[in-house]
Amino acid sequence: MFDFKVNSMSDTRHPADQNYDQPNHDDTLERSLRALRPIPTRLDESAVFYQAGFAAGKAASEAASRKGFRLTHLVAAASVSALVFGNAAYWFARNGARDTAARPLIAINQQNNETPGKARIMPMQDSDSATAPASADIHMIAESTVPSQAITPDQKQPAYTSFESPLSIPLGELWASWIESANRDFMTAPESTTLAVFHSSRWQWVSNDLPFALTGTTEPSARFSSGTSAENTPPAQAGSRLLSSQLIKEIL
Amino acid sequence: MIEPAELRTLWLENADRLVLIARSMGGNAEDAVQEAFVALATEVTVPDDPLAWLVRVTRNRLLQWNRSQKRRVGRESAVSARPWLSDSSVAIDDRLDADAVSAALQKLDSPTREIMVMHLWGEMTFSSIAQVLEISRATAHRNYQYGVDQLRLQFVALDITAD
Repeated sequence: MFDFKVNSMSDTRHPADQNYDQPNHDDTLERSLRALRPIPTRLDESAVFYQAGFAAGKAASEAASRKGFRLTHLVAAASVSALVFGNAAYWFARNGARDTAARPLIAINQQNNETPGKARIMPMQDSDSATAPASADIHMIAESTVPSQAITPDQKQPAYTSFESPLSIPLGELWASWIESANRDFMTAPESTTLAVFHSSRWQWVSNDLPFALTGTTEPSARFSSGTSAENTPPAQAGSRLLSSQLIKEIL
Repeated sequence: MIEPAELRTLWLENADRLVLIARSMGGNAEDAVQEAFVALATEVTVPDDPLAWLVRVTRNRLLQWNRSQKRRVGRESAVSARPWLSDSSVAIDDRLDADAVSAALQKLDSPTREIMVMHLWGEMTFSSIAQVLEISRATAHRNYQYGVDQLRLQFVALDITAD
């Protein structure tokens, strides 16, 4: 039985007492309360993403500086990207942990010089393609490895870019839009890219309502299976450049 | 900006207890904590008392959300009913049930609830708590003592037994 009578109201220390903030070990209740621990947050994973995104933003900025680029836009874009990446990773970790059935709308790993627009967009395995929408408001996070000379002489670093949400485009144009923007952001074509897509309504990821997955392909004739016959569709110009000054202001 | 490694260390050291503190304040705790860390990342240097800084930013964010009613829930009513605490691996004779403590804490009024969480599990000094809540140190301590007494009464009424 918990002895509540022992040392009840025993803390008579004056606020000026040096030990004012120290635990009152004489109080059994307080001692027991302190023995409990906060339930670990399930957001730990996001810290890793966050760190990586942040480092990438810094690396991209520094690389641009070394190469003598005008930094006005790139620095802001890189910094914002890092922060947005952290935020999205947070939602990823959180929602992924909350609902094990939910999955990221992963992913592309596009190697080397593949032509943009070759991504295959297809329903997830447990989804009904007949009900798949032809377009969606999405948030995309991309991790790219850029050529080493763009970062350091002897080392490759990941770089990140992202898009402001919502981005409403035909899904067939997704990849093409991204790759064009990434090329502008980092001044060079990525060597490889992993792209994660989030359906977003203020960062909320509701993958159950968006039954799509992206898979990479190297087949030139790959067709989008989103219900359209679009193939290698040119990127949509409007809306593809989404690191807006408004977003930068909002986050920074 | 703060170095990524340092940021990660701060996360590992503070995230769990900051989420707990945010839960005691009501509202969407995890959202607010994440945004506080995003704000921290944009700081030039690490604040002198990082946890107190994070608590202040988290609290301001929650208050802002509540004021604007974007979250559609009142601060008090939004105090999460989910468990806040886990049982310690440290064996002590007078162990309390974490769920019972979580429930008892949720019955306390604000800011007593927040003060208790900040002090007991955030390990914040009463000076730091006072600064965050813009009250005197003595008031913070008085509220804390009141909260301890209230919990004591609740547990007596419930006749909670230790393992």
